[in-house]
Amino acid sequence: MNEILAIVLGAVLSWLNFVLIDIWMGLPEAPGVRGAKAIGKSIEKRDGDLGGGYFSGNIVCSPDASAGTLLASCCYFAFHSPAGGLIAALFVYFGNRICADPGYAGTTGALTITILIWATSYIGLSPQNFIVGIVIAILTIQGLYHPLVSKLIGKMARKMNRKVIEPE
Amino acid sequence: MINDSLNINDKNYNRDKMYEETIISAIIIFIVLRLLVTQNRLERMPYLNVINFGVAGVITLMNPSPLGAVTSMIYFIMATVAANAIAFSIDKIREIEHDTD
Amino acid sequence: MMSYIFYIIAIVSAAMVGFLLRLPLLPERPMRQSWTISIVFPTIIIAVSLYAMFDYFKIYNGIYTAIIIGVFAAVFCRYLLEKLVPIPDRGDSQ
Repeated sequence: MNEILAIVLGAVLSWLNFVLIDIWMGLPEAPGVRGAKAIGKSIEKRDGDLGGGYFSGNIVCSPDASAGTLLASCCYFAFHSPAGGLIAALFVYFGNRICADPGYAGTTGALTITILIWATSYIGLSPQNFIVGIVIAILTIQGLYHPLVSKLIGKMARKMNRKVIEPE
Repeated sequence: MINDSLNINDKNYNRDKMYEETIISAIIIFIVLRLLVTQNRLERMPYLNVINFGVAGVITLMNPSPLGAVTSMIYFIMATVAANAIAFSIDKIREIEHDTD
Repeated sequence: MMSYIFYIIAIVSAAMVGFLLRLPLLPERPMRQSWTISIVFPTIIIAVSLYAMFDYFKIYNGIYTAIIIGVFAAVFCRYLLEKLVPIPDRGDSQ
């Protein structure tokens, strides 16, 4: 398969994997820790969406599906077999617990990306495409223009029924 | 496995990873420059996170072995803990400054 | 393909021992915010990951290792996990 097409496909699959799982796990609803709240409010102050801001803040401050995707594809690449993705799931789970998070998002992201990499290996994609794919995906979410992307994430979150929960 | 095209015994055989290395290097350089230019401290945190992702990817790409994978995992988790501490401190300092104003 | 059966054996062994030790099957709803340790999460995940480590580095892979790892994962999750990574208090600003 053409190398550029493989990287693009890896980036799209990684983006979908981590964004959908994170939104489904409720990251745009509330800030997990105090730092995430600060980042969310700062993005809202610059004309962004608060749900999207909390999403970015939660990605920065604790491991979530994006961390699970990155580490599972790195371990799959290093171990040359899906066993690498399974080993990464354990480390991501303990990393989550250290950062005061229950651990569902990261581990789910790691397991699903392992299944995806294994399935697309029959088409011609290899794990290094997914490694660079997740870096490109996180660049689009956090490295380009925060207010615009936060509005997109907020729109997707409302479509998946995950609104911002106001603190009592 | 199905796609066993990497010859890990020969570390100089980089042709399989050429595009990946170029792309990640370009991303890291762009984000570092953008980080240096930005003034708002809380806006810098997501850029820092992108750099952590890039470096964790590079560690494994350059060392396709279990040691590379474990190093990448430990680096990334510790970098996340550090970013959490930085964001918490920035928020706490702002709260303290507003209280004493 | 034949070696994948040992992962299934590890999962089944962890689930059975977890059921014996009175671990719940699924966390409480809504699942993403609950801290309860259950069979599906994280017992099976720990069992499969540990067996994958033993399988890759070729330290005694086989049916006995799978069963022992399943038992260890269930016992660890029931008794030792809370002491190792304690659940933080809710409302703690970390």
